[in-house]
Amino acid sequence: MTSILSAIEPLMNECLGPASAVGVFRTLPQPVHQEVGSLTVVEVRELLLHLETSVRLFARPGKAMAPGKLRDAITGGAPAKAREERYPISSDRDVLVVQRATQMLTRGFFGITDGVRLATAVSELARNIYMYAGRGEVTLRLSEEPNAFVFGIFAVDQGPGIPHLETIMKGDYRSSTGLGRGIVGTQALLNSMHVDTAPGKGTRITGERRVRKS
Amino acid sequence: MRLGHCVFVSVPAELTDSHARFLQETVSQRLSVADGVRGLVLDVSALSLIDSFAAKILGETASIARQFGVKGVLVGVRPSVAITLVELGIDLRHVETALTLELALEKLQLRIVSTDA
Repeated sequence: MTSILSAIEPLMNECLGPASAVGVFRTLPQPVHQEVGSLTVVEVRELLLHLETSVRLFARPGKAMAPGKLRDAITGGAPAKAREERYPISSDRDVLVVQRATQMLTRGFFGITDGVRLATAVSELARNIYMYAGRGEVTLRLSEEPNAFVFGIFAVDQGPGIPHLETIMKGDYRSSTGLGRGIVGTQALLNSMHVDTAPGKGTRITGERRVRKS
Repeated sequence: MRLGHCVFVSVPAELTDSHARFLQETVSQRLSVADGVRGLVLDVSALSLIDSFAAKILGETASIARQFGVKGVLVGVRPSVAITLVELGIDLRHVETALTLELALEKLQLRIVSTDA
């Protein structure tokens, strides 16, 4: 039972000197009082950003912080917990909402272009839901592995299912509403994608894109 | 907004599907009644992403403009958006594009104003 604050305290004291460190501790976001290893990837990123900025600004001469040390202190050396967000989809407004949510969630983990790729992929899947099924749900999941960050998409609906999936996946199908490339294009934007559909039974699409930690 | 022989449209950042359709309709309406319009510039620099639906609407709008003898040019596609469009397999080949507004006007072979006659 160690709080994050007590885990990072010796590191920060050593690097900044106790007087400056105390000042920095006062400004840290609330999750710093939680237990080591209990934060989600997003909370870890936020806290690290805060700490690294302070270190850059206030480090004493010759007392640089070894990279990765703060992260290990916050997470206990293990990958942080995944962050999962669920969004109901029933209108074109909701498509915009998941686009924005994807951009927020990927920022800082993925590059700009990857962020656009993922937001576009999510947008395609969310639009398919409200156009063809009426309503459904999109879940976004950001998780951490020892060497990578993984963004997962789960799009689920109880709609009519996707007819002639094989023709669509071959890429020569044109729908009357889109460019007919929604699903194939989305697959190209992701590292992997799986479609599970049956007439009248709805559709489940899972996909992910990963990026190596720098 | 109209300037000389050209109509400028700034596509808003918060573009829902119904907004996109509304925009398309409004622009078509304006072009069909406007006299002497020769160019349509669609500025998409506010869009942080263009998915297949948005691309379809933009492409259609340019095609509709052509029906009225108006040349449509797309301006301000961000680099990451361009990469994504290509990977998504969307072909905007039939739509003229330009890097900047200035180049778009050059493509349309129009000058905004020439007061000194």
